[in-house]
Amino acid sequence: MNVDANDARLVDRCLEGDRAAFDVLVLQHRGAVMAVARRLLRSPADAEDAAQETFVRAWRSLRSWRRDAPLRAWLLTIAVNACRTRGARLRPDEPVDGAPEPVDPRPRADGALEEGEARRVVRLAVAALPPRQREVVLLKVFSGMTHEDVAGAMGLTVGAVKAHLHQAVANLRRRLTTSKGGSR
Amino acid sequence: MIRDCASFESVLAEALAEGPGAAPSVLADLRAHAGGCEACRPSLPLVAMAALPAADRDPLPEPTERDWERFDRRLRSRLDAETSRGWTWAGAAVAATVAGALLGAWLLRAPEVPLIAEGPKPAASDPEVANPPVKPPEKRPADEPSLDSFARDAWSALALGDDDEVEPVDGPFPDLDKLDEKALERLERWLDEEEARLSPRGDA
Repeated sequence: MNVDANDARLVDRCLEGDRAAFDVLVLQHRGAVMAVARRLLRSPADAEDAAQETFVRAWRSLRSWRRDAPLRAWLLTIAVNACRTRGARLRPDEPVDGAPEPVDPRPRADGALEEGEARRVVRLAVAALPPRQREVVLLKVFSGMTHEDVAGAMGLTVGAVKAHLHQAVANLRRRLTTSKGGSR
Repeated sequence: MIRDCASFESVLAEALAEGPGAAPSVLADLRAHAGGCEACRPSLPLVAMAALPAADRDPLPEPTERDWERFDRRLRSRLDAETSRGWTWAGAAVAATVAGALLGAWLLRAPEVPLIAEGPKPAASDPEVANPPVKPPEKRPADEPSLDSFARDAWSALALGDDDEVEPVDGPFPDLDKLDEKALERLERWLDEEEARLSPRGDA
C-alpha cells in the first residue's frame, strides 16, 4: 500500500479517537523525527524531548494536516519548530554522548587534518553559521534530506534552500580560512 | 575544470548537496583547485566530507532499544494526559452548563415580593384615594437586612400618625424612632417617590 495512503487511513482512524492508530504512526515516523532532532540539537536528551513534543503537537493538531503533502514532511516541520523552540544549544566541540571523538592531534605528513579533527573543525564552523543556514546544512549536508524535504520542513522554497546552502558554504570557507584549526 | 575560487565555492556547495556523495570526477577537480589555492586549501575538510554519503559525514549514535522503550513510555504517558485533560475540559464545560441552567431556573422560580403590596384599585372619587391605607410591605423570607426591611419599618413608623407616639421599632434599624421631623419628611418624600415608581400603570 502506498505510504501516503496508509498514513491518511491511520490519521482518519486517529480522528475517530483510535489511539492505537496514532501509536502506529509514531512507530513509522519516530526514527525520522528523532534523527532530525538529534541533528539539530545534538544533545540526546534535548532531542528526545523535542521529538516527544513533536508527536504531542501532532496529536493535538491532526486535523490541520493538509493531505497535499506527505505526513512525514508535516511531522518534520513540527520537529524543526520544536527544536527551534528548545533552542539549538550546540556544543560542537563536544562529542555526542556515546560517540567518543577519535582526535589525533598529530597532523598527517601532507599537512592535512586527521579525520576526527577535520570533523571537529567543520562542526565548529557550522555552529557559527546563522540559524537558517545552519539548519539547511545540518538537514541537507549531514542528514541527506532532499531539497524538497528540507524546504517543507523549514517552510521555504527549494530555491531558498539552495540559496541558503550556497551562502552557508561561502561562510564555512571564510571561517575555515581564518580558523586556527585550518590545515597548514 | 575549476577556474577560480567562486567556481570552487559553487561546485563545492553542489557536491555537499549530493546525498550519496559527490562524483569522483567532481571531487578530483575540487582537490586539484584547493591543493593549489592558498585561499581554498582550508576548505579541504569540506571536500573530504563531500566524498562521503551524508549519513557518514558526521555520524550520530543511533538510539538503542532501551532508548526507544523509554521514548514510547514517556510519549504514551503524555498522550494519556492529553486525552484525560480533554475529557476534563469537556466534562467541566458540561457541568458548568448544567449548573448554570439549574441556578437560572432556581432564580427564576423565586417569587418576587413587591415592595408595596398591591390591593384593589380604588375609584378616583373614593375618599381613600387621597389618604390611601398604609400597608407595610409583605415580609420577605430573607435572613439579612434589606431595603425592604427598612421600608417596612419606615411604613410602620409613618402608619402610627403624627399624634401617636412612635413606638420603638424592633428591627434592623432600631434608631428609626430617633429620626427628627425633617428626616421623617425626607423619608416620607422618598417613600412617595418609590410608591409612584413601583405603582402599575393605568392607576386611576
